[in-house]
Amino acid sequence: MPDTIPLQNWLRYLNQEYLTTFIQDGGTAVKFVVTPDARRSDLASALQDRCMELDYLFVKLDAIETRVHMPQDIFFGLARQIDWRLLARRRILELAAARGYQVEGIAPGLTANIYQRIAHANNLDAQPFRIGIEQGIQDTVFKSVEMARDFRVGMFQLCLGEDVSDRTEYTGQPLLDWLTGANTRIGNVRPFSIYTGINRSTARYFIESALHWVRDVGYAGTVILLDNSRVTLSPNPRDRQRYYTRAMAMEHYELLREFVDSADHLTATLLVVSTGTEFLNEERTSKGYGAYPALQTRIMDDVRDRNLVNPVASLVRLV
Amino acid sequence: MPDNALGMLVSGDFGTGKSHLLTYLEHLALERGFVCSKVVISKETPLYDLSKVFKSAVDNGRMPDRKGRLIEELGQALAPRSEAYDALYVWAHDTPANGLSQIFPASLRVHSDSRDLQLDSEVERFWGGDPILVSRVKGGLRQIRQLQSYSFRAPRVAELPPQRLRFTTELIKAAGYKGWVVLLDEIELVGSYSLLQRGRSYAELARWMGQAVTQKYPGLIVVGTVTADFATTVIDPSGQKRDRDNVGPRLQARHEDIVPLAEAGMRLLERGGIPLSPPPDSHVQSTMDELRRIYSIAYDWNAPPLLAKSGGAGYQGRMRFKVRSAINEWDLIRVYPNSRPDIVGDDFRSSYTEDHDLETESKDNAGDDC
Repeated sequence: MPDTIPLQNWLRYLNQEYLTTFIQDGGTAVKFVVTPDARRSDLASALQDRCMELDYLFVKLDAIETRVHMPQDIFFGLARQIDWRLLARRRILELAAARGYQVEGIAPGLTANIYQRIAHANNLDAQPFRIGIEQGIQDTVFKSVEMARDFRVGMFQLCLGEDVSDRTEYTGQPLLDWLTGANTRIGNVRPFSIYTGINRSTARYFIESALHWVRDVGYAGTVILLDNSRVTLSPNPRDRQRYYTRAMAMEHYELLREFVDSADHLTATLLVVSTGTEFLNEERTSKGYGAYPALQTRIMDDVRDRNLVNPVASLVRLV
Repeated sequence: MPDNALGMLVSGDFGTGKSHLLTYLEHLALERGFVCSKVVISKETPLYDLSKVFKSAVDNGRMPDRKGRLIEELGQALAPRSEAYDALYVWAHDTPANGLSQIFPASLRVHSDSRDLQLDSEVERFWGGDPILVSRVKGGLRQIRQLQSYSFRAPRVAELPPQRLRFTTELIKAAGYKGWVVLLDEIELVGSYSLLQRGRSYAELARWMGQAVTQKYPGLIVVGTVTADFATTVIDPSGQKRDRDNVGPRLQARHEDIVPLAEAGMRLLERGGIPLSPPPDSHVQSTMDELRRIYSIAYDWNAPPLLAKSGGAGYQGRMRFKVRSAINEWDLIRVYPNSRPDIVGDDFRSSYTEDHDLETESKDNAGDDC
């Protein structure tokens, strides 16, 4: 029986069944794809291109660079690929548009003061315009019940921080450092009334909040491509790159299981776990998913067709 | 309200629907005004370690009306002039009766009266399982001129988890919820621990299920799931591991105090709880009808009726097979309209082979070796 599906065919179904429909509507899905080494870059570039066309935020994580058994490192890896200032500007533009201001032609990617740009485009004084928008930021960001407390405080401050001119220094850098893991000392963000570190037990809330925020500022959603083929590697190749012990592999699988189980807590997100054939090793003593039956039983294709591959199954094998 | 935790065990073979039952109970609990936490027993949440399972229950806690971190939201939901809060305050301060360290009432006082947001955050995290410096709590008491009202030293680390469980359950009720439902999935993982940790796990299971006569957790409701063959394979004197004979002697040396509780935990598992039996014809048919309706709405496509069959040999009689084969069949007919699906399946068996990696602590900085 054929058990593989060509990459392009699978991408077609992913597009139809998820990217242009379910995920855009706010849903979340987790897919596991066993990918030949030679096809990994094709998968990444095809997904990235499609995300650009559909206005998804695309994030790529690789177990070689990111410690994928640690939730905080997953968050930091995600955060490093997010242009947080761009998201803040998108929110400001969106609020201005909702209040009837003319924002056409003002790109959120510009580096000048976006408050001043919008005020200028509408023949207004910047100060009163800003006060009105600040109220909107309070209501939709600071008071949002969809995001964890410290995360929404951070986003509120980032939005305010966009009121920066050539003569004043950008004030949001400590927040960007905190979000990206560049400086995790809580003392740096205490002046913003943030008191929670991003660590093993809080990272999940930050991931959920960030994915919500991406969608909230107008992206179609987030697509995360996580290549975990390094996790199953054994024995240690001693190639001076990260090596995962079996205990770490189990922690990583536990984390993936949590993503599967908490899909209803995540907003407009497609997580594609790209992996190698060793991942399908069912032996309990292996570094495949058999080491953690709670993940294996959630995604394995124990019930399948004798002749056809289901392209929308949780687990597919690509050629 | 019963004066101790309520507990229920559900047992069944793989694919009978244990995890889905817990998800259903989670929805039910939230609808009825309970805080609910689903904890999958795993490497990071070993059943023998109350502090980790408790922390996971807090981290995974969901509230009917709020999102965000449970412990923070509870802190914000407390209304210091309400009747419920007064009851919590009075209860928390009666430490001779409730057995808590005075750091709990002291931290509650600091949380309600100080205007230090950072300290409030630290106190909430302490309630949720993180450490706090005693000097921070005392500093907060000093700020509000209440230092002389409390006298305490740092409690021993081992004393804290059961006290936190007790305190958080009361906190949940004081914040306006009916109680705390904790759902423990995949308890059978205990079978892969070493003998010592299996023994400790049985004791902890008994505690969660309200069997610890000296520790009371009113308002806590725990439902656990375990495989149907766990007790016969792991506990029974004629099984593979014979824990009924071996656990007591193994615990005697270092954990004599928990032997009776471990015995109680083994008895709970041996009684097997409520078995999930195969669904009758009528149930299978109504489930398939409902599934077909949902599938048709989700895909805006009229899913064809499938012949719903009850029973079947082994795994084919289980709900997992029936649900998965129906969805697979509809998926294939939908994406390949001319196909004639022929669904097959494999059985899956739980293994109770000891796995020492389950007990290996992974440090945050591990994995950096190049």
